Amino acid sequence: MQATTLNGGPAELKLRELDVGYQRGRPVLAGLSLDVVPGEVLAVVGPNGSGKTTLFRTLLGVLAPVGGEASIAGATPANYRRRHGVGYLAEDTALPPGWICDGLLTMAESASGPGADIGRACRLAGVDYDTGVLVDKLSKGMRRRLALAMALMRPTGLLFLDEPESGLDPGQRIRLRRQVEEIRGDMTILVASHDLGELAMMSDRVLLIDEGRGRVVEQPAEGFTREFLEAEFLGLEGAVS
Amino acid sequence: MNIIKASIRNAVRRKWKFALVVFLCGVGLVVLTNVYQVGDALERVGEINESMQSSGEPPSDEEVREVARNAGLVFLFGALAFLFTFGTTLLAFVMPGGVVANERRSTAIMLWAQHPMPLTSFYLQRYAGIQVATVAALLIIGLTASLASFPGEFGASGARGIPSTFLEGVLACAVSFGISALAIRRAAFFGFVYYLGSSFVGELMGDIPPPPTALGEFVAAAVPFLIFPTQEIWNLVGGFESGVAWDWGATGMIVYHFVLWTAVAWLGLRRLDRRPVKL
Repeated sequence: MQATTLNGGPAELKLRELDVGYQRGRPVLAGLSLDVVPGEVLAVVGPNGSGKTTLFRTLLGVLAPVGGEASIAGATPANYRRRHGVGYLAEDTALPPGWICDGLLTMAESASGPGADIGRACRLAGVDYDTGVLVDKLSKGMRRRLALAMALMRPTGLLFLDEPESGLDPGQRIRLRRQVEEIRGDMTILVASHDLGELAMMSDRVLLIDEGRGRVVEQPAEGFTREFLEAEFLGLEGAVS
Repeated sequence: MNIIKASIRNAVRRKWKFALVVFLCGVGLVVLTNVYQVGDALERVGEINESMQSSGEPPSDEEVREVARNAGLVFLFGALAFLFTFGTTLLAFVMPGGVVANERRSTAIMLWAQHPMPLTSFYLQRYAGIQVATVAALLIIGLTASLASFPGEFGASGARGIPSTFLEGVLACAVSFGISALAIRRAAFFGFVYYLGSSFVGELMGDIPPPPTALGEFVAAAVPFLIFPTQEIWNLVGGFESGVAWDWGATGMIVYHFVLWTAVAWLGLRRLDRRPVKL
């Protein structure tokens, strides 16, 4: 089933010699250039601290590049987010404490604007539990599914998934992959993960980030496999072989 | 509208226990002042105290017995009246619950920043919901307490005190939210410190006339624009009594403070729109 996009369809990303850092003179990402075509599923792989989350923060427009350029559908990341909205599942799912899940979903629906659909978002994110409970009482996996539902509240052109499998049981991981399959093509998806097996099955290309540098790995003719990605990953300087 | 409704529900669900305690203090006042002759007890204890101070002699056995007989009632009335007033103001300060600052710190703010609705609009709607819940709670508490039969000289001030506490509460909620929108945590605490500090400065200015210099006059004129307008609220609600002229100056000052703190909140939220999380 094709979801309706409200913002001109899946977004195109262009990064040109992008430098990003938190402290002057100490870039986390340096000289990163990349084109992501609309509807692509790009896996972002790298050791801990390699800059995956920093890349997402830059593309969300909450962290300004110190050099180079990042654009999403021709706009700066911040402008694109403010104009169209994006879907974002953070690595650490922070939900406001003391809220009933229904309340958060209702507010996310209102903040999403026209086209928001709680039912669709909950189905895609696997929120199949009672949402009349406090978020404080949810397990980690349930919290992540709720956060994912809030990210998928509206058919956006761009979705960031930062270690989405974290806290999910094997069944939920398989379900998540199926959900990505369901929405792929409707939106451009960037997914950072350490689960190379899952990434191999869902990605069109892989961006390997290591010590601030990025390298894109194209899909081989036989498709990505876990072994292929493990070999690529172990080739990184920051990886422990 | 859904954001406002969700915020009202959340505020009520989170703070109803606190509100109930304050409400019960109000009910206690109603029961106490209608069942017992609190006025007579206060008057008699006051008379004995005055005669002791004027004569300098120790109280007679009869007077000691009378004070002991009324002490419980006087203490209970004082405690309930204090808890009611203090609790109502504190409730209004804690109602916003540091909503913006806490969500920014925990990065939960990104749950909202990912959507097209500006954070300014989103949080102002949530604030509207919180303020509606605050007003409703203060109305219920205040209307209940208005059934209290305040004794003697407390009669006028008691009747005036309830709408005054109500208005203070509405403004306290605005102050607390404004501080939180500046991404300052523990907004209720800082708001309450501001409230207490303002009361102290207000009392001081009432007791000590400003020095007859240009600077002194300027400070005396400027301070009311900066401190919590407790005195102005008191003057304003005096206008509800028959035969008392409406204080338009106090009205303007209260509106100014409400607009000021709403503008502070708006400016803080505009800043968050540009930079939702601190990295």
